[in-house]
Amino acid sequence: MRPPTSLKKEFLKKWIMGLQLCSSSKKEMSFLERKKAIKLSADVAMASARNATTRWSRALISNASKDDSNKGLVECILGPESESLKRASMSLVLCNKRNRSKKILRKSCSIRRARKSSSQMVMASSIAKRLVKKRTQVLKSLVPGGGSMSEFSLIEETLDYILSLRAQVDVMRHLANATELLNRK
Amino acid sequence: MDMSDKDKFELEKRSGDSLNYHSASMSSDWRFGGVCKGDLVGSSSCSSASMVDSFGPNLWDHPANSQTLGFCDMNVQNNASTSSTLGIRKGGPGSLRMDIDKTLDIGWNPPSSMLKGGIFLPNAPGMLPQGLSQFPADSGFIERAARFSCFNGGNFSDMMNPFSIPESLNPYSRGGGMLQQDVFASNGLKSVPGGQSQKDEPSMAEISKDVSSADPEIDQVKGSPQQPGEASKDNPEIQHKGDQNPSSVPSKNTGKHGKQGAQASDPPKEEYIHVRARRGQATNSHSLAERVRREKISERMKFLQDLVPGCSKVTGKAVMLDEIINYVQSLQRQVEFLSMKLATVNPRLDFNIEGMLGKDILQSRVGPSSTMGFSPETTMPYPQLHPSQPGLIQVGLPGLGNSSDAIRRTINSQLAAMSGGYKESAPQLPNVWEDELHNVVQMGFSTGAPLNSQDLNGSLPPGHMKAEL
Repeated sequence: MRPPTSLKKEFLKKWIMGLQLCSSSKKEMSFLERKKAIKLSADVAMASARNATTRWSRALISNASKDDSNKGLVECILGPESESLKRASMSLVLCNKRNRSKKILRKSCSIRRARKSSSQMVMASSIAKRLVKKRTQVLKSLVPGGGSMSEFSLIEETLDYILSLRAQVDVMRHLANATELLNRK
Repeated sequence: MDMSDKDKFELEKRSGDSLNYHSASMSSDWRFGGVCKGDLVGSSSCSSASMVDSFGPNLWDHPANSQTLGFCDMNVQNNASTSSTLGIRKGGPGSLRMDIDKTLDIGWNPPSSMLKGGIFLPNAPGMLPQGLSQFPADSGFIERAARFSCFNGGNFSDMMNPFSIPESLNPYSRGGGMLQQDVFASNGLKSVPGGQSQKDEPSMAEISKDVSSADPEIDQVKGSPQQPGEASKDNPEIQHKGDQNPSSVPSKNTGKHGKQGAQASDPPKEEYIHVRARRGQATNSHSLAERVRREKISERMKFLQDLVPGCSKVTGKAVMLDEIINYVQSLQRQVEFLSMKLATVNPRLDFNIEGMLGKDILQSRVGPSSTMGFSPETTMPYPQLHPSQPGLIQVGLPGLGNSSDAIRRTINSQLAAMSGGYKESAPQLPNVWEDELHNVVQMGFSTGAPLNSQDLNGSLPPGHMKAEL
């Protein structure tokens, strides 16, 4: 596993950089704007800490760069690799379209199958399968870019995503505490 | 035992697959050898029915031996056409020989290799006892052998092959060699590579990518849990696998890969997974692919179990997924909340890193994070930061001398949460601090002069990282 502290350091680095960029661009920001900027820079920093090796990071970056207002920030945080990363993330969009058509096809087939088997007894296994399927769908919606992943890769991505989220939360919490204490003084 | 198994593998390899047992008596040597080593030493050279007869009474005298008889025989690899049902039969010497022949059908590596050695070197009686001494005559072995006895040994040579070609094809496996999806049915083993695997390529390609990127350990880890899991089922084939020592798992796994690597010299990017059908299960390649997929997924779920807190006792995919979903959602919500908190705390989005280095924060932080053990007096020589900052930083550094402390503590709090051995890590932490500060400050504030300090390696001792994970 990659050493977590290096991940945190990288994340902190990029995050601070992004935040400074944000604050330098606008002088006065509302609360929500600030929060958005913070979150955005944190997410992008986290994703870029992975250097687009994982799908979720690529999806995150592509989503972030879709919005024009964020593009500059994203580019800045990504740094020199931004171009290649963007190209990599664009491919995800195409994948999504293909997956959507596949899903439609599958649904139509499953409807036919369901009609055939509706007369049979509902087995416990099928219930379990349905549960699992539902939950995988929920998980797919949670993990960025999860829609275009197979079940197996989804689990791998979730693993990585959880690790990164943890690191992100840790760093943010410490920074928040530090600033809070600083302000108290 | 491990070494002996590997040796036996080697022997098998060398002696080749086609081992014709012209004389059942020879095999009987081996068989009886397991039972009574002393007898065999003397009779190793002579290979005649007389030996069988001489051993016959032995066999029938010891009822227990008859069992081991069958089991020992299973260890003998046999390419002969005597592929009737194997079993322990009691009867006259004639039937005994039949028995021997049939039990010979079941190949069992260690003794078989010894047997081959014996047949090829009939003049080396020393071989027998040496090989046979490694014969495990324990009950577990007998059990497994018994299960094997019911097996149709017609295609055992096929079965043996993957396991007898391990080492030479190791490089194949490691180099991302071919893994083919083979179907080994219980009777009349057929290998079904080809067509089915073609279909499964798209899915396999993805899996292959994951597999190739995964650590070799994971493959082996996957292999070993597979074996106990499979061994628990009443499957002779899998029992056969389980027979072999855990240490031979690597060789086995690589044997699997290796075999496929030897068979197919196609584009190296495709990877197939060598799967064996369990007894009583469909040998359809689809179901096999399903099984492989499921096993992979369950393995990944185990990783997730370790990651997600409170999931160690949970079994079942649905519940695990539920927990994972909850955890991911909670983490995401935490991120949102923290970003909100930061937004409130920072009216201008200026994160004053140096300000945090002030002593005040140090002391106030010591309270909440009580795990900090080192005294605030420890200071490190720290150079003065350049005051010329682009308007973001409020240069309100009370004492730069303590800045290292501050950074140290802030980062320490992170580490302290993770690692128990905090105090021991104190000397190394300043390195982390320096590094961290340097990174942050240099990057963000683009100071002209590099922050002088011991440019120490900021990587923590591995213990910390492990604790984190």
